[in-house]
Amino acid sequence: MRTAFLITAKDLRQRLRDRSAFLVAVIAPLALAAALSVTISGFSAGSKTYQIGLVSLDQGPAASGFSNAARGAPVDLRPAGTEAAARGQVKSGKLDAAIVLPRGLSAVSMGGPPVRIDVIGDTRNSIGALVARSIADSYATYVRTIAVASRALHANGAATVRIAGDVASAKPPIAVGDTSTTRKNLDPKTYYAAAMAVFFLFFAVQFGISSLLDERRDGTLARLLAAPISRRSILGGKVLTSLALGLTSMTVLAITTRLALGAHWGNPIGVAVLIVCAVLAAIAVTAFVTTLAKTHEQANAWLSIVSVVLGMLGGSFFPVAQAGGLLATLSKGTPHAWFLSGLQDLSSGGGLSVIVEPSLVLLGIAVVCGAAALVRVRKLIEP
Amino acid sequence: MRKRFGEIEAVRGVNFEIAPGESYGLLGPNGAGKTTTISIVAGLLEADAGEALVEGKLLTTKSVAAKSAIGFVPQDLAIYPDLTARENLSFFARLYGISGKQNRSRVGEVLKIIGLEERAGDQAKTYSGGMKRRLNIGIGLLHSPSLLILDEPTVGVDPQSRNAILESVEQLGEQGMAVLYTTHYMEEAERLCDRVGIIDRGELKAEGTRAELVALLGEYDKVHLTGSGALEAAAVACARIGAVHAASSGDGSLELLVEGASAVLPEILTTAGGAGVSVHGVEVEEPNLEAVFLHLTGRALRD
Ligand SMILES: Nc1ncnc2c1ncn2[C@@H]1O[C@H](COP(=O)(O)OP(=O)(O)OP(=O)(O)O)[C@@H](O)[C@H]1O
Ligand SMILES: [Mg+2]
Repeated sequence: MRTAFLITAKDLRQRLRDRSAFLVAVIAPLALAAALSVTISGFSAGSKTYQIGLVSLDQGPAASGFSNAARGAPVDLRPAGTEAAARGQVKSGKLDAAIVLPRGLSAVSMGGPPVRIDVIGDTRNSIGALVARSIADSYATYVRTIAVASRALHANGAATVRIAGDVASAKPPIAVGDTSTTRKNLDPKTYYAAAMAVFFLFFAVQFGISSLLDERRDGTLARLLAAPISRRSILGGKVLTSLALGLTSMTVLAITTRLALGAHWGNPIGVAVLIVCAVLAAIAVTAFVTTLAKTHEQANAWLSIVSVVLGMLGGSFFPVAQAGGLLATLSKGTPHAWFLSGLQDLSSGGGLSVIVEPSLVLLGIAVVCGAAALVRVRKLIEP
Repeated sequence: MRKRFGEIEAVRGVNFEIAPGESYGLLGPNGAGKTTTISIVAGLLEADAGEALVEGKLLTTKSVAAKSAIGFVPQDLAIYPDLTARENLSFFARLYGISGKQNRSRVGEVLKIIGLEERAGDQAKTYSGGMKRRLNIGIGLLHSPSLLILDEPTVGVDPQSRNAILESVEQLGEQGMAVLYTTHYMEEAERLCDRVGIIDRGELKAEGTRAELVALLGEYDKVHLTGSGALEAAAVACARIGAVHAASSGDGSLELLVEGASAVLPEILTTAGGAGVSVHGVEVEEPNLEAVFLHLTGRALRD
């Protein structure tokens, strides 16, 4: 156990030095959550609800993300058919304004060419146009942030983008405006704080187990194996590193977003339990993926693919759980979705009992993936 | 010991002993099985058959306690590039149970031995190749092991650093540390090692002191011929001469083991010329370990 701590301490020192972990575990999620919550809550709630029409020429999941950008704004967003139809309705006053989502919008966040979002307004109703305009603006900021983040996240951007593209072309059945739900939703600030935290958690914990592959590349694994320490304590040290990074990241994010952004995570004990379970699940999933890879490069590529896909399906970018259909079902297989739905239930004031199910599911994922990883981990600790 | 990787039998019957304080060299060309052999001795790899005993204790991949008798310096650099020399040393010293005050003083001593005191606080990635090598070796010295294993520590090192490394290994040997040293440089084996094992294709062909090994050559002289042209063909042709025991072509040279060199030299020159080699120079050399290797395997140590 002592040697495991020595290895963890060494790992953390390395991570502090190159700042990569800090960037992934704290700065990136915080910046994204802040950017998202600022743009989303930039509306002052008025008494009037604006009727905004939505024309989507895009085939991807952008429309759902869009309706999300409008959350919290005093608008009623609804599909308006073709552009011509929308124009007509704005003119006749049935709509206060309309927004046209162009073809290729979904692709932008995955590095596609830039596109323009058009706002159709009427000079007699400048406030309606202004509201539509600010929704479109905040959404554009959101897409830009994601595009930048996904590029900055990993050197293996190519793989990430390809998979992201696959998901986009699968035409998920998201209907615009279909955000109705019987549950009380997390407010957008909290939702994005938590969603970004759990998304980046999967990257933060990678600095533990998968650093075994770095140690092999750098030859230091041979040194560890030649030292009078057991292979179990080497592995233990790496798991501890992941645990330390994961827990620190989530805790720092929960506290910072609470203080700085006014996110409401809910009952601290419940949140703590959910965080611990999510961290364990993230460690187990990433450990298992790492054991499947043959090389360092492969592991990195696979880990970013898995983390991004799970994050997308799990609702880190769009609240897919509310979309219904296949996507919602798939989303149930991700730790992200369970973590977020646990928080959601907690914020509905259901008491601690509501987190039992999500916590158990997260632990179940941790146990299954952890066991699978343990079976295969031997080959990670060989010279 | 035996060890197989799939189709390749990397080590097939290697057996040797090293006395306390003795320096032992494993001399062999690329792919001979040196690294595989010492990886088994250091407890990194599991042998398929056979066993390694260090200080009388069985050493396998699982023998945690027995490993503290060994200091291991891998062939490839094995340091944390983003940690400083001091941090690298201090971390590994702790793994060997050296902590607190003792840790600080021992790290200081080793920094002095490897001559890195001035740069001890800089990250290892900022070091020159030679400095990295010295740090790599220093880590193996931390716990004053009774057996120090060095795997080709001078490969890719400039002549100056190489000399510094050889000197410090010599000193360690004099201080009573047993050394297991692998190399494919004959000069290093001759200079550093009390005894040498000649290894080729996973087998230990012979072992002994330099004198014992050279005695294996018997009456043979080593003829070193430099030239250009069809060296390979010349080697084949010369090997047919009765008094030539072995012939091997290298980069711009021919190595021959010859009985009564002075008598046969004219015939060798004629044969080489006839095979299409223009000869620039001929030397009859003192028999050395390279000649022994040629004698035992029919091939030059460096080809
Ligand atoms: N992990 C491995 N998997 C497969 N083959 C291996 C492995 N390690 C070594 N070998 C093979 O075993 C043989 C001996 O390799 P080894 O590294 O022991 O040679 P060496 O004497 O150290 O050579 P060098 O001087 O080049 O370092 C080689 O043919 C090598 O390809
Ligand atoms: Mg080798």
